[in-house]
Amino acid sequence: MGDKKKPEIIKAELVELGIVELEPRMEMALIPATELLEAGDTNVLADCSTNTNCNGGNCVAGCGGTAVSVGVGVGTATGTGTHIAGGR
Amino acid sequence: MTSTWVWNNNARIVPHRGDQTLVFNNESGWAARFGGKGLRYIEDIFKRKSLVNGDERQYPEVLLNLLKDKRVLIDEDTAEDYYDEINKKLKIHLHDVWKLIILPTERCNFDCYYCYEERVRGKMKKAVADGTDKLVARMAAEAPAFELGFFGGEPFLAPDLMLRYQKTAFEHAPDKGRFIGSVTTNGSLMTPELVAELADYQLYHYQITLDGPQRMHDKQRISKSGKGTYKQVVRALEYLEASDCPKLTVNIRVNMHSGMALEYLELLEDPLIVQIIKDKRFYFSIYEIWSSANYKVTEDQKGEWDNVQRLKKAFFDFEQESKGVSIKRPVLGGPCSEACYAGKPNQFIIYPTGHVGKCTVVLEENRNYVGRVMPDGSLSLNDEKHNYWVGKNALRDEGCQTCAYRISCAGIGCPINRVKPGDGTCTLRDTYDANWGRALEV
Repeated sequence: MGDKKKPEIIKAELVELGIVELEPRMEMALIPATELLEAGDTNVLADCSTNTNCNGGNCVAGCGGTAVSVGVGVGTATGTGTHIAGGR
Repeated sequence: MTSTWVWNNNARIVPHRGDQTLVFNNESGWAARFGGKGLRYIEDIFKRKSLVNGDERQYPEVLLNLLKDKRVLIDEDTAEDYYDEINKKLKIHLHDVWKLIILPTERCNFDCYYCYEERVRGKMKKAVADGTDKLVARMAAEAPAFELGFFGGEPFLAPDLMLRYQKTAFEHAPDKGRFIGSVTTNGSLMTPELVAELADYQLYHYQITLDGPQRMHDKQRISKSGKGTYKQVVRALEYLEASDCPKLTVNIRVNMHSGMALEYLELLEDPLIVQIIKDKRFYFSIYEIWSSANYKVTEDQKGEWDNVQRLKKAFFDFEQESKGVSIKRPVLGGPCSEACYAGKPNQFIIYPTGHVGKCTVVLEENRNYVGRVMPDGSLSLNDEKHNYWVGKNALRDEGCQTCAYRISCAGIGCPINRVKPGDGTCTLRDTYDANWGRALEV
């Protein structure tokens, strides 16, 4: 096992190869989104199956955590989804 | 001990601009643009489908580490457990969330020009309402998680029925943390008292439409008497903002024509909206108006697909700035995020007549009538018709097993559009391929 490379060096090596990482949709995390947000880390977002805001994956909205990821329901106890009855 | 690394079924290579390609993993949410040598390497790895130790020497270590870290390549020894875990999550979303969307009436006090509904059925009659109430009680009591939704018409034309069903569901739900109510409303008939009373029974989510600035909204969404409705809708938003219920969430839906996309941005200049959107309980969602039997979108209303994405991004950025948060914009969400309730086996709509349906768009089509609510609160379903909606999904459909979009789509997407007429093949993958990368780059 070699020394861990610094992220900026890894990034430069990837760019050299023609690889640019894009903004992630969300990373599955084991920490509730609210805690991450309160800690100022808004880039890592919670997957609903593990997010207590989404009732352990049984959130009734079926948004898959998307609602939380776009700032909806942040800080609320029940994640409510973006896919609500509608079409107009 | 050597490991064999295999290509993750949830990862996909999508051709992009010029000589570049996009690689993404629908499970981890990771994405990257590949060009130059990196492109040749990734295409080679994708063709191989698996790498054993000897193969790894052909590729730069930094690339392999990245692909392993982002789970584009997964260890063959743990792959089965990994896929099982994903299927477990999908199963929860597909089966364990039960939902009823009740249309207490199809009548509406608005006459929005693009509305696709016929609005022919009036308020639910007593016998149907009694049966529906028993159904609500039973489902709320038995469901692993339960959502009760109200739709119409304008559901607040029948507030007595809304309150009745909401209260019934609340009282029968054994775990209050696994129950929520929602309503799609034009907002005009809401009162602070009704909002508070419904919130007492956990009706927490509102979808209210506000089609851009007043000059746009008042053309698109008019009352039965032909008057603009902007002020009524904004007043409803103010009621909700004044509510002290922390669990409220409000989706401000903006229906737009892509040919006039930028004009809708003026909404963000209304001081009341600027104030409201600071509240973390409120957010925007942007939808393009589509043609229906009642309304045809004209050529001058049509614009570039990118315009819709730009407008979405502008609203999203404004919202984040207003709230003082910084969150990456999702393009494809988590499990079932692209899957409609119509494709889920335990989710139904209830017409005012007591008919049972699946979709809130094709309300008049025979295929949507899958059963009836019986007087004792049971559901009498036509299995063959119901199967049209729920027969295929990512857990059952062989074609979904190696599809990289199966987590978001769940093999459902929009059940009406998921198969090509004639050959029955999936149309969704092509749509996702075409739109996903473009949306990410806007």
